[in-house]
Amino acid sequence: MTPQQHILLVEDDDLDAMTVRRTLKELGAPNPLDRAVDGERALIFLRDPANPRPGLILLDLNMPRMNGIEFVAEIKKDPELRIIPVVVLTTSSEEGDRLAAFNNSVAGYMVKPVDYPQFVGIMSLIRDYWMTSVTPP
Amino acid sequence: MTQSAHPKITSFRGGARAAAPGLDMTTDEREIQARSVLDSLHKHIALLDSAGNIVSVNRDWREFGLSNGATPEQADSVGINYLDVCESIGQPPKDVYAAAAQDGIKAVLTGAQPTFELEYPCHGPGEQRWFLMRVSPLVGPHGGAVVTHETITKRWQLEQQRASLIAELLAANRELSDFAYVVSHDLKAPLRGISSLASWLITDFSDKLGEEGRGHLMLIASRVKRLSSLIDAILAYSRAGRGREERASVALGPLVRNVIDLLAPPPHISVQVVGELPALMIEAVKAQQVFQNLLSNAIDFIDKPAGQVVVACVRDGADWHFTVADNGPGIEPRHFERIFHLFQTLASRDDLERTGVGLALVKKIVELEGGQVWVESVMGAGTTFHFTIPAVA
Repeated sequence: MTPQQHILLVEDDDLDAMTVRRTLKELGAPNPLDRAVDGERALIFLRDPANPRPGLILLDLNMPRMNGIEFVAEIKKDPELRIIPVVVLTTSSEEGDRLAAFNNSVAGYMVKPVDYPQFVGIMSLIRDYWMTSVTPP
Repeated sequence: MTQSAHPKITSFRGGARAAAPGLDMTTDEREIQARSVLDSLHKHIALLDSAGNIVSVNRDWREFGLSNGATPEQADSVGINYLDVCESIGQPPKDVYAAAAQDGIKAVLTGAQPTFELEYPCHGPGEQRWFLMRVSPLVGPHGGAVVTHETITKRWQLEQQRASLIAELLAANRELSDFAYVVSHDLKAPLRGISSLASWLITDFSDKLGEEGRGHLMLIASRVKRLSSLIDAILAYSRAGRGREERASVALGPLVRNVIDLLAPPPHISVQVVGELPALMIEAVKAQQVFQNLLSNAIDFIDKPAGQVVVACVRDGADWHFTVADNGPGIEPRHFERIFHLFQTLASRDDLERTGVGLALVKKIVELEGGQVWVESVMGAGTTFHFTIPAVA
């Protein structure tokens, strides 16, 4: 992923969104961050050609209207959007959620720790991995 | 019945067997006796000939007919073909129970089947009624069958009641564990927010907060951690009843050694396994949770300069009997029950960070496996936790 590519955060909780934004800033990740508050808004955002195509989607699972699993199932059906890597960022480590996420070909699944410094550690791994990984054309 | 009595036998008149009733009776008298025996039974009984015609019925059969609006002639039933009666019920379409009864009676009459039984509903105007029909062959040169009906409404109602109670219980249990799961996850999200905010305040406003302010924020952080581990523990507890994983043969020897390694007891505490531990058919995670909770309790509470924890197992009849013994401070008998309840701890949480879920979880797992758990303790000398697991599931 290049430093210019956007990251799309799909997250309903303002404070969780602030946490991700701040963490990326602390880690010196230069990528601009866009945010959608649920799966429905994220789809609208992605399907509007005026918006930048993200290089990575960070996805919460538990959201109103359209949850993370429904969202990822939807974009994997879309030939335009299915190539964007999706990393799940969630509180749930439950078997059912993990299974549903990987059945929908997510690129990663991270359980959000309650402790902020630990959370920074996890975000740092995600940044290092995706800044090193080449993204689809 | 007595129809099989031979004339030969009646010739023993006056002999040792003359006292037995029936031996010196005429055919008519025997007929009357047989009839009163049939009338004394609380079942509706009819005798059929080989074509299915009713030859004779008992009093209960007649009374049932009368109570259901039949005329005395209809209730007497003699001469009616019972197979035709079955044929006529609920037409059209034919009543499924009547059809099954018809087939069953035919099968017994032809000898295709030795006996036949059928439970069927026969609801009266104001009540639900269930009956058990039995058909057995009438032994003799002319063949035929005995048809009996008895009421089983009470048994049916009880079975129905039991089934609906079990369904309700299952639903309530499922709801409860779903509830614990949802609550636990929804509680974690705001907790993470609090943790982030406290951490940012310390980082961003450290100079303005002063020593006391920073101290308070550290306390918030530690309470957040406590609540978070409580939530994890509730989640583990609610999961214990759900049984998601496959049971497999788990060798407890390596499993317990692995648990001891994970707990990394301090150098002054020795944790030993005495003898061989068996293999159990159990979910590995559950066996691990039981030993991890018992061993971490034993290790964490030891107050002696040389701590000792001993794990052992003996076969006791159909059970494996496990013990985890320590030389810690001991537990007063008045706490023996309380420690197995959810959220009960004996030490102040600020001295020793514990959730109060561990032993409740142990008890739940052991009891779900069909075993028992209990504790013995001598104040100052140590505590032994016992639990049993059936050796053959």
